[in-house]
Amino acid sequence: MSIEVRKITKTFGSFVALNDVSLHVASGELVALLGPSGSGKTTLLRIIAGLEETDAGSGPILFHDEDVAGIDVRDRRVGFVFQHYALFRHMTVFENVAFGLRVRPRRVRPSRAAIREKVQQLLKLVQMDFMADRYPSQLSGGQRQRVALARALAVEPKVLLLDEPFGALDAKVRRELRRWLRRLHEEIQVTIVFVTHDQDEALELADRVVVMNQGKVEQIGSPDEVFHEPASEFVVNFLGHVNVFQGRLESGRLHFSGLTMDAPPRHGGSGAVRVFVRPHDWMVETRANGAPSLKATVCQINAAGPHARLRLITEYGEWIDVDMSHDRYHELALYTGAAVFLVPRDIKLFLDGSNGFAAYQAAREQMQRDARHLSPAGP
Amino acid sequence: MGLVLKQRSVLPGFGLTLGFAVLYLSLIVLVPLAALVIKSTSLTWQRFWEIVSDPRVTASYRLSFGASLAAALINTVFGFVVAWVLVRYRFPGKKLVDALVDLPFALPTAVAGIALTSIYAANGWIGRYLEAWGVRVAFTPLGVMLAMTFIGLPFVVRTLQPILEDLDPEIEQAAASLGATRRQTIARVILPELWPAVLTGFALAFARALGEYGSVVFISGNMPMRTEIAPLLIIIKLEQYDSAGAAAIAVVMLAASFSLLLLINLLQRWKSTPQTAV
Repeated sequence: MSIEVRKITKTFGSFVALNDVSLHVASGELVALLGPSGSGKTTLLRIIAGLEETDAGSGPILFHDEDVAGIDVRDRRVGFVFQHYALFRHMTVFENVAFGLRVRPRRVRPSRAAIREKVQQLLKLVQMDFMADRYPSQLSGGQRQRVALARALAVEPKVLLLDEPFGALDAKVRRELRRWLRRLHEEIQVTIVFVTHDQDEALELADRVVVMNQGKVEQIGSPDEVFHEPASEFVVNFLGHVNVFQGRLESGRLHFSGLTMDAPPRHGGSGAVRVFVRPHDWMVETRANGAPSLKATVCQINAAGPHARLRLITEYGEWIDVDMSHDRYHELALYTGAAVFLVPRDIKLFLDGSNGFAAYQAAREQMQRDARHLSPAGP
Repeated sequence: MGLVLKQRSVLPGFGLTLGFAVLYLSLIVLVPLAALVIKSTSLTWQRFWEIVSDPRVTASYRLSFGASLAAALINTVFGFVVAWVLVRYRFPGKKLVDALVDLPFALPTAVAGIALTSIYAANGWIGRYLEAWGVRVAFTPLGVMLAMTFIGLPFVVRTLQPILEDLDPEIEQAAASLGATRRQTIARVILPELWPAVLTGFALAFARALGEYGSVVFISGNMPMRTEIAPLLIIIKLEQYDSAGAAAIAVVMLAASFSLLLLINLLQRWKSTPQTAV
């Protein structure tokens, strides 16, 4: 079941939660809505579910090309899993999962035996079959989450919508459930849209990531695309820690922090730019090797964890965070106060005041057209 | 048994507070009630039975318990609606309506009785129209029930309100997303969560109605066999210096209402066990 929303706007009083948002989710896809709180991601999810109505003038909400905007939540056949699970406290695990089947009108309600079998099967799927008689208050957070999922799946939803599914769980349980959800998705092949503010979760789990900010879509793409080809400064900033510099672009040459290098391809203009380099995208040398580099002094070293993390300061007083492998760290024998040369391996840059997403879209479409012209197999 | 009582708790002060609670309840509740029971024992068993089985007395029991039950039931239903509206919706004048709910608490009951009587009397503001329909309120059992409903309303509203406020609106949305109709959501999801509070509100409204005197005596007209409530008979006996007879009537009321409240408590525990079990 594919989902499409077109030009959706939603305001709460004077607060604009969603501003002209469009989105297409293919059938069977696993899509993450990623953004900070207040970005409108949960509102979008609730609009898809039918728990919230769009403002007048908004476009349609299509499920498999059928407009469901006027259809009530109970007839939309979506499975919705709430951030805080919203389990029925006075019902056992079994009764919670059976609820969606038991409230069906008599003529389409399965027999008691069929309901029992279906619920047992679902509880097995979420590995909760041995807890069928417990009450929600007797379960851990991760177990409640899985019951909530089984309950949503019981009505055989055409799409499954999850609001911050792992938000209230501790890091370890979260990782386990992530993997488990991925497997579940492969097993049951249902379209899943989930909301998260955790970029690791989105990048690890989703087929495609929708990055949202202040009620607008900043970028839609595969985890690879949004990470390696961010469409805007916001996306770069949101997808993990990054070093930012003020720089200048002049006829194909980029200047920042005392370093001059060729601008990355597709950046021909001139003017003030902001330069982004991720901590793991620096090559660190103790001697200049001819490549354009900037000089810095090591200020702090933290070698505990998967990488050695260094904090350096440039000649111009800018702080730079650098991650490197432990091997490389030992090879260089770095110490606090050591002078090093930094060579950026990968940089992202944005002209000041540029409209990130539009520019990105235009550039991408141009590239695709170019690629078609160049490709020998193309039309 | 001794072992259980001596079990130490990490929270200090159990012995002290339990001792205080027992002493306080004894002084305020148990001692006067015991005196009442003792007073009634000055009668012979036969005399006791004669008093409490007197047709005029049994008629008053029927009216007292019947009207109280009816009033408590009405309050449970409509108090629920009032609490629901106050918690779930925002409307101009909400604060005023909220304050209005407490009025029956604050008003001297005699004032309430006089006001209700003058409104519902055959020539009163409302009574005059009801009279045209052949419905008489003042000086009938219906009037007794009305006064009891008036004074019992705040109990149901105020017990339900905090529970309703705590009720997560997401569980209703969850029920709807699973295909439940509004009616199914209320019957299967909301009411079971509220059930203990509903019972408490009912019990309080019932107990209050049963003990009510001031407002009822004005609107009932106090006609023997028809509109006399049991508390009134007790007063009448006292005025005739028959305090043993008054105690006898009171003891029966006490026993009946205590067993009813106990029953409601047990029902409540039975219904709410699943939620508290850990």
